[in-house]
Amino acid sequence: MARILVIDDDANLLQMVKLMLERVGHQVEISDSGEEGIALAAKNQHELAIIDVMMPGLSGYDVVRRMREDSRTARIPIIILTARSQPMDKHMALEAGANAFLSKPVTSHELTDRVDAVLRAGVNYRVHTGLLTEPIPRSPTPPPRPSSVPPRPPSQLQAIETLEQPAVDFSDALSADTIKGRLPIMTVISLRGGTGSTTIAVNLAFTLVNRGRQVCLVDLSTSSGHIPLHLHLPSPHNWSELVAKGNTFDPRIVNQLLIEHPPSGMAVLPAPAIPGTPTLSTIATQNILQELGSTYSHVVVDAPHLDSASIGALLVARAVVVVMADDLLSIQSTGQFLTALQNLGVEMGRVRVVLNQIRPTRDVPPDTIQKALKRPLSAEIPYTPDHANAIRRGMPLVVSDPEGAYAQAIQQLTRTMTM
Amino acid sequence: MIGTQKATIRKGYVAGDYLTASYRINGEADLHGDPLMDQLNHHMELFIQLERMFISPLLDPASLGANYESGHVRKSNLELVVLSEPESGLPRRQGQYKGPDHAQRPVFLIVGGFEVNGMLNLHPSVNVGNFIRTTPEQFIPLFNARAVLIGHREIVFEGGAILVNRGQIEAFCVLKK
Repeated sequence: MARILVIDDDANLLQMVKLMLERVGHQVEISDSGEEGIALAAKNQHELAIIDVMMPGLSGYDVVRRMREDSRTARIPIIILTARSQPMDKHMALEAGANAFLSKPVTSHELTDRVDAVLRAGVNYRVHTGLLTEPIPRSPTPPPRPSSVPPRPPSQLQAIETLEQPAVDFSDALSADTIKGRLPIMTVISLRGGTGSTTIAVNLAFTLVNRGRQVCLVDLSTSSGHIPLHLHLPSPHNWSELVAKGNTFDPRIVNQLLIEHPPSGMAVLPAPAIPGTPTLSTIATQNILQELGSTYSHVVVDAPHLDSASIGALLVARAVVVVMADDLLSIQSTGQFLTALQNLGVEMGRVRVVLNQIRPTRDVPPDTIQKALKRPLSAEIPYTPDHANAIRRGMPLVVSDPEGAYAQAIQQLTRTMTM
Repeated sequence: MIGTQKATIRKGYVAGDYLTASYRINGEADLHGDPLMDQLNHHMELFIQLERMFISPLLDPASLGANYESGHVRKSNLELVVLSEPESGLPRRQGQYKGPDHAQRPVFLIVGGFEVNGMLNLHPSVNVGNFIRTTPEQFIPLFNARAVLIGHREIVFEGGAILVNRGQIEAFCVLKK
């Protein structure tokens, strides 16, 4: 069991948390001030610290920052426990360097579960509600790349070729850093068909719409895009009209290609219905997404293949959602795909690996998958037989059954992506 | 039993965010027998006393500005009070807002600088519009509510209950379920 430091100016809460943790076997040391707590942490090298935010004098955020700056305490995982429970408070706590955020009141189950998850994950991971884990980006502000992208090393193309996809020329591609800031784009991708990535993209988009965001959903499929079918939308236009014009970019044409989903107000850029249509170039895709990103608060991209258009979407996305199933083929292709993403220059901090339970029975357990991939799963989407009905009604599950397990998991996934 | 035990703020207090036109005031109200709703709706008291007050500018609400052992907030200048637990937003006579036959009625309000969405939990026989217009109480609770600061839509407050100062309501709409 672990040695844990609890820092809070509320004596009653200190005793209560101490009691809860000692009951499950942890050794707990308490402190009622930030200054004293930092000194104790440096001296006794605890395995975890639980820190309140609102303390007179040194605030919890200051304590976290000072612990992260001190080499003796920088490796101690930290949970913030506070009565300030708004989204911006959580963001502030995680930005300061905390690994997890809990709001008061907290039950002993919630507390001990989160403590165990943070101890398991270590200081390099954030643990969110539902015990979803994501790696902390190593460098929140990476150094800017030169505007002219240098030739990429052979390993990038090799990585793509190992996935048995046609090698594509993306030497003219813009990286996320060369475009002004990160675009508010989520790219959902799966290299194996039938993992439900399109359904996840549609439901992610509607989750954002439900939160009052202006969303554009982009279908980059080249094998008969299914998004209009999910939403019962006619698709008189699609992006192949841009390809036919030689991949030239004209914002007016892009806006003319968009169709509106009337009940939600969401915009959709459909894919051609005929399979085998030539796809967009990397640079054209990035220009389109840049235009849409400046118009809509969020753009969700369904990118089913690793082709030139998908690479464009991966490079500019703020978050990349890699969808996998729990079978061996999917695990293998996901592992290789993560390597390919790294070689493409997609930082792993932007990537969320999502296990979509596409069958009622489990094949490989999530723990084994995490070990095989050497990274945690950001979300597990439970199996539901209701997708067929959802498509029949043209109403995604996050709309028709927002309290259902599937919708809850999608909402949870959305929350892990700081957009 | 162990699993349901809660580590919370001091017994007999409720923590909340008290939002004015310019500030986010986080503090703990001493309930001393009176639920927060009843204290806010007490016509003879102009102020409500808070302890462990932390004051942040509304446009930088996550920062921790000044903090004080205790202070008083003018109730009529409050726009919203955000509470994490729905139960904290109930008055002593809970029947008005809680009951097996009550229905959740979605409403949208513009309150000062905020757009607020949430649920009014009322008996189906109650006309929601009439209720908001004519109830004698200054504060009404919206459950599972969300308030977005107009002009700064990244600033969002969510709560199991948001208590709305009717005196600050600029417009409201009763939404269809």
